[in-house]
Amino acid sequence: MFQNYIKIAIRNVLKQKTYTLINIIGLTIGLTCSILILLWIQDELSIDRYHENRDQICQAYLKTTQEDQVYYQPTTAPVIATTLKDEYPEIREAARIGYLGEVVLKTGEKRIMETTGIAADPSILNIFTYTFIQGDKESALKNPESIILDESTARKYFGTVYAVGQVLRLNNQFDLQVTGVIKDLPQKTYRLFNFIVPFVFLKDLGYDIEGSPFFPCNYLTYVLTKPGIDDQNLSEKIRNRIFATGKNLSFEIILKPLAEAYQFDTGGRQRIVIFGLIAMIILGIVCINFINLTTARATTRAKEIGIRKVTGANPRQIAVQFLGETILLTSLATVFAVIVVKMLLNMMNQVTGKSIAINNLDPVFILELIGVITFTGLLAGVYPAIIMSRFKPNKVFKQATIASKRVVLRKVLIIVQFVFSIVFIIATLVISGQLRFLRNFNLGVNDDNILYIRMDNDMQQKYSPLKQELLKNSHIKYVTTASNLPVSIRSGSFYFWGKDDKISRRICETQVGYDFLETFGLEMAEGRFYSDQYPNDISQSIVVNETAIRTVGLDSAVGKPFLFKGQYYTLIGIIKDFHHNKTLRRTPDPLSFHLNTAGSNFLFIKINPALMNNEVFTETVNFIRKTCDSFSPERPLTYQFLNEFSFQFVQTQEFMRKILLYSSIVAIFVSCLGLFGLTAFLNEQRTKEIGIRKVLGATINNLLVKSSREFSQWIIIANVIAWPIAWFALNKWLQNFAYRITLGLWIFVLAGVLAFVISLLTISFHMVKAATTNPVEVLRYE
Amino acid sequence: MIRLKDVEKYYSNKFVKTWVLRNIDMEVKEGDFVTIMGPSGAGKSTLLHILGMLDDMSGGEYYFLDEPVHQLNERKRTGFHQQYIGFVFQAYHLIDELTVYENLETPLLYKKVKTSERKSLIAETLDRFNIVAKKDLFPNQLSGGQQQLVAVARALIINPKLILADEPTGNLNSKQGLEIMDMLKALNDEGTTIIQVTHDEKKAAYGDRIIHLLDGYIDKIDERN
Repeated sequence: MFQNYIKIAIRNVLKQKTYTLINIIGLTIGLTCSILILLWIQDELSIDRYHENRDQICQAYLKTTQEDQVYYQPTTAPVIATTLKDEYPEIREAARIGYLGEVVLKTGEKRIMETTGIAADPSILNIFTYTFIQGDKESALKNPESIILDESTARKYFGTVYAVGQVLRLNNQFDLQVTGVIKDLPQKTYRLFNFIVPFVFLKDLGYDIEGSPFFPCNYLTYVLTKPGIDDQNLSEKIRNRIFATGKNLSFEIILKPLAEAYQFDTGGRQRIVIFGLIAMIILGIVCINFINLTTARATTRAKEIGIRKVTGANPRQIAVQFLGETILLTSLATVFAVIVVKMLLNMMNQVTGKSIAINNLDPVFILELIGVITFTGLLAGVYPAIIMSRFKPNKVFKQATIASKRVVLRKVLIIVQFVFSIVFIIATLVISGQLRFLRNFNLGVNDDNILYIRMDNDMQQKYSPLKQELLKNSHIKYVTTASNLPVSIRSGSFYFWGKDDKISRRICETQVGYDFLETFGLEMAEGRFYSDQYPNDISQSIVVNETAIRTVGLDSAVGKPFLFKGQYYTLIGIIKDFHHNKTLRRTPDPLSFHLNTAGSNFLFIKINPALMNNEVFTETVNFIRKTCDSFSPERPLTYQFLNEFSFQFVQTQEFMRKILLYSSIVAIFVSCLGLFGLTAFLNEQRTKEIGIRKVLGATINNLLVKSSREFSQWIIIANVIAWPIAWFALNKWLQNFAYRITLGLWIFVLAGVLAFVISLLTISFHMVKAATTNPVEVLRYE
Repeated sequence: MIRLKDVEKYYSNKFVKTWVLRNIDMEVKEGDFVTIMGPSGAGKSTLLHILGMLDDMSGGEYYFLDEPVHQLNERKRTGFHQQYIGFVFQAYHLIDELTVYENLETPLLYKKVKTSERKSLIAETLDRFNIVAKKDLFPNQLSGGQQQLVAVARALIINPKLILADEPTGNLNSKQGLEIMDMLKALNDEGTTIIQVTHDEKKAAYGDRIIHLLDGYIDKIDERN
């Protein structure tokens, strides 16, 4: 029986080449997209899942509630870990992790700036699973001056992975002995690092690692619970124990399972849902093609079905046969899709920044493919199979029109396809528009021709002479320093500030040097900025932005005392609001600027734009490099341009835009493919009608207008349905931004017209062909 | 074997009922060779389809081997096809994508006949109809007569008690037609019940009874012998 089905399936496939090809191409495209997205989702869900204790690891979050606003922060104070470990028997281990930021490691002549090192408690080795190549987890972090390297870092410095016993010098100050080498962390790690030093070492680097339960909140805290402990309960217990409540503000510590942390921090869940939806929609469009083509062409198989029934087949057997054919076709398409996926994987990894690989023999992968085949096969095959199985042999043999009743359903399905295509097009247009808007948005900060360099202690201490030296070059216009990039002032804290009303308010604090205002082209709304002509500025003055003044509700405040962290300063000026967070998700926050005459984290150098050309530029950069090197010989200089600074956020949105763009193209293409096949078949059937019409005097134009009229109705209905859906979804998306484009009608119209034109072109091929055929030829068949 | 009581068939089209068959009473005994005749549109094919359980009746009773067919569901009726009924059509109705061998195999597959038995049955039938050499050819590689031969062979392979033939020779030349009729006659002599529809007086003469249909009614019945 099975053989018989397969034989007839293959012979039919070969007989109806065009339709098979259309179906296979459609299915292959749809399956390729779905498999790619499935791989992406799978990878996304497997992040941090390789740890043996994965189900017992939780991360502590600081939850801040201010009136109706809730913020979650993954970093907590260092005492949280010790408190949790000491007070909760449910907790087996607790560890703190702090990122070291930029440090320079050195051995012999090798001197490299490292940015992804961490300091961590020894218990981290018991909580997470790291594979030691050399050394062991019991002793590796015991000595405060030890360091664990990963494989490639060990190789980078020592040319071998067996580096235990070697010494690395950190920041030209501390000699650390290599006590362990671990395998490189898998790519599926959310918080990557390449070396570990003991947490207590942070003290040597000058960080505060004691403090109070809510200060300084700079460290990641992980706990390992005992088996069988319910995270939710434990979190609730902790929440009720470690908290602080103020007048309008409260802090709590809550636990989140490791499995949720990545998704939670990056908003990944929403992304997974959206991508999953896109995959389903594309698969749906493909299945609609299949259903439409198969049911339209069902007549070509009607005779066979009739004979089978007459010779003793029951409807179920017929349904099974046709479902089987669909699954066979789907399997074939899946094989092609896997090949295409393999070809596209590199590109996909580039776009997503992942390193997904597929292994044909991986049972999980095979199982997934079987799942995809079954799902698609059923989705595409069940309906046509049922229709076919219901054919009555006596009607079939009379050649009655069997498929005529399905026309309504077919129309509905085509309209559904176009609804999705139009929604995709609108989404692509809107997201592109919004991203363009964000890129061109005037932040109020002039970030052109500004180089920035992170300063180490050496440079910070010699900041003033360094500045003097740099300004000797005539191409350098300004030199200043600040604790943050002015386009990325993001971390705020709650204090009493402004006036003494005992209400804590959020404010972002920034250390700045002289010339900060000029370097970034900022303007004062009132008063003046810090200047070396006023010696009092060093300790007694403060500058804030307009939002800060508005938030506390002060007027004509310049020259008056201004409370900040329990101390009064003189407010000397108010800076005009500028956008200190390039994501533009929020309107400006209250900002305070504090003078720091010594160097702060960043050194900013504004090069005179009037003199910029390649040669002068290279010369100037060389000068900067030489000057900085002479002030900080141990540090390899790395510089960046401020206007190239972009956020993770913008990148993920850009990624989203690309995915939507590709989805739109695929959706439209596949929809048109289906339309192409369908019109080909329907015109084949209508050639006689068209022939008769022509004999009766219809012109080609009459015919074209007539046959495109109905089709236009479909597209109009599709637009009517698609617009509100798109408007609703995109309006919601745009709410993420404090500054956004307006959803103009033209976007919708453009998408509709685009869909219309593309699909009209698709069907016109067959329409013109049918309309221009000589009627004599057509009618001769009869 | 077959008993029809007041069978009727109509198509309703919103307001108008179009009658195809009315007041059909007939009985067919095992071993009969019945011919149904009548002008186009008289309802011959419809009657045959009802007898073959391919079409539903609008009213009346139909007993096949004393089973009330009008009360059976499709699955049960399929069971009757598989066991008792073979069809032969004017247009042969072979599956174009299957070879002669595979066409013969199809009813056996649906009847779930075991592989070994199936092979021997097909071999026997190919032999009996003298078409062994054609077994790997597709229908469109055969002449009309050969195709009808295969169709008859396919109908017979399940060893049916009843063969329903709808103008089996209609598309054949006279020589081929005679061959097919002789074959049916031979089968009838072996005990197979046959009901055929035809226009052709000569072919009608093979039957022992001729039922004349006119406008859906039984006009008259000619008994021979």
